[in-house]
Amino acid sequence: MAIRTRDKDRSRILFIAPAILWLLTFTLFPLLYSLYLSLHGSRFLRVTHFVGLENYRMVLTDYRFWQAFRVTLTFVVVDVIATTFIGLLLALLFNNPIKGIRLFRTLSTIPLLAAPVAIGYICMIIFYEEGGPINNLLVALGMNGINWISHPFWAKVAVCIADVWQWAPFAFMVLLAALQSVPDEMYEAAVLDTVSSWQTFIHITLPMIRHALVTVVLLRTVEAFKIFDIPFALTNGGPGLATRTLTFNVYTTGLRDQNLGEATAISFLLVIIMLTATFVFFRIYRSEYE
Amino acid sequence: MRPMFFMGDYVANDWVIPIDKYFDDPRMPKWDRESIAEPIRNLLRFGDNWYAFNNDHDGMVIYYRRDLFSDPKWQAAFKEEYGYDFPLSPRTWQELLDVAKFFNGKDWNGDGKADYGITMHLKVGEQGFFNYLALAASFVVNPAPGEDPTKVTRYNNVFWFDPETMEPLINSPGHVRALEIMIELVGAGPRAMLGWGLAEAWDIFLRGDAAMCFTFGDVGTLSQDPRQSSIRGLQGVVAIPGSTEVYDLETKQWKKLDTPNFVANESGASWSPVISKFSKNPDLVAYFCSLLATPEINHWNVAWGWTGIDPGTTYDFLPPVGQASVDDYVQTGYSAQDVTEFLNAYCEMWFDYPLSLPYLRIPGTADYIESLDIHLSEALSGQVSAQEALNRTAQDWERITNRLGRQNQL
Repeated sequence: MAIRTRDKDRSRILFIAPAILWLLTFTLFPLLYSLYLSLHGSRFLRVTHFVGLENYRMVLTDYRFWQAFRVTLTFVVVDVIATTFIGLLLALLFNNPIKGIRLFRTLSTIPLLAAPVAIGYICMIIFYEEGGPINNLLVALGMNGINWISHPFWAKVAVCIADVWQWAPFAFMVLLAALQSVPDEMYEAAVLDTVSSWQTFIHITLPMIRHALVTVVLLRTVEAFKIFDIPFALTNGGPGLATRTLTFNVYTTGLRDQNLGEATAISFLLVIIMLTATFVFFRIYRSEYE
Repeated sequence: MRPMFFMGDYVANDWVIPIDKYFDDPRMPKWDRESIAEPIRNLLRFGDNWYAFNNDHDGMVIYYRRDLFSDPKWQAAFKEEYGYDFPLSPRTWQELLDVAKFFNGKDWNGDGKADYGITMHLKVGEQGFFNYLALAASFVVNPAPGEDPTKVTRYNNVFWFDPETMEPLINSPGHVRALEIMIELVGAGPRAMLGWGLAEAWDIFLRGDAAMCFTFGDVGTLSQDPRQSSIRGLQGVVAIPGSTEVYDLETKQWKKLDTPNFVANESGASWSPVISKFSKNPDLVAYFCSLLATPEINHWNVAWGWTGIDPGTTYDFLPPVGQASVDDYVQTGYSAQDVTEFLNAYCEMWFDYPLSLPYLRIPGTADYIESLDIHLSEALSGQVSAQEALNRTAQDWERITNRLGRQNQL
């Protein structure tokens, strides 16, 4: 009996060992090593000596960090709201018996499958100020072209449009699935009670899909904090620092300026910001998950 | 193959080895160090040693539309508008700015759309800072008095830092004036250039929608390819302009000059081979790099142009300075007049200009330049004034210097 239990235990360990090994190698070790780096000085990609919290002090007193923080926060707020809103609108629209909905659902996943960096480069063509398709259309309609890349405000708008275009289908698909799981009887009862469409949405649809909605917002928030590829390819973070995000700052500090200590310090600050946001989020929506 | 701009980092970090010992090694192909223009030659050396082999020779010049500039109709209109004769090849930044403003917004190519005065590549994180360096040099680099104008003192022939204190000079009045001129130049071209890399900036000139292009040697070659250029046979080239005023750091006054202050620039990477310290067979690497550097191969690369290697040695230039002939280039596809202008502009800048802008070749160059690049973009896109942008740069540079150690950087 004892031998059989030991064999069972060994089998269990063998089965979970690859996962543990993977986690240690690709998650825990890099995390601990980057913590080590963030507490050390570096020169030309070489670790020098222990500096305590000096890298954190340098980062927190650098306006580039705070500028990147503001830009990231702007993208998070705008992108999450826009993605969820557009996804919900599309889901409500296609939660009706419409011909060709399956085809649309399939097509809508295409942006999700594309690499963000590729989307960034495609958007360079789309938003090209001297004869790109959007500005050509605006001019044909008798309007002035927009300085999509060269103006700080419009550059932010261009990045947001590209990001929302990629992620709105994700919100659409999750919310459509949630909408389709709402029992028809509830809508039928509402119709009998002569409730308006708006009231039906507020009192029946929204409460019934709230779990999915919260999940979409949470996942999009985490993803939006990490935005890098699109501004990297489309605007290179400019003009000036107008579209430079925190992850972009990690890249330039670590790889371009070869300052590993400050780059990892920014990474840890980003982790703290994201953990704080997630914690606050769960505090607010705790009841949804209990 | 490495950009010479970061030589300070390569040497300080002990990544590359000196190559002097190979010069007299009978096993190595021979290349002519004396034929290289002095400003470029200096890039290949660090301290008392040579570290890089001859290959590329980058610098910025001004390309313009020869047909447009020589048209009496436009010359007369310019004189009427600006009150002085049209500068056929602008020799100062002030003249160049007037010409750019004059052609900007006019439909001079007759396609029914307003055309542009000048084009540059100013996307942040790319190569716009090179334009600034080439422009600012003549406002900042103050020649030394006496027999040797190239002598470096605390106040003469300095551009980046005070050589005694490592305090940044980047926000000194010379730099501020230069950036103000650059902001005005941006207004004489498509605003879109603030988001352009090299390709977009070159394209608008090559397709005939911009009167001038302020860039590297590549346009001299690309303009000869009829698949992408409508200006073959119409291209003029002028060496980088000078300034009629330069800021004197000693007296803290502007000096007005009768003849412009001409300062050559080596803006660009000047990609050249170096030997890694970690190379398993440095002798073999040295052999290959020496072979690339020989006049036969190096001049072939320049004459064929499409290699991206720009002229910079006496065997690339025309007599009396050089030994090349126009035929060397015509047989590879160049228009004779275009290439003559192209070669003469570079030859003048590197062999006749009395001064040269020293590269920033100290550890941390990437960091210093990145900061400058960001703040230039802020100023050019109208987010802050020229003075504010350069004050921010100076503040960043102090921070970088303190981090790397002021004494180490001096």
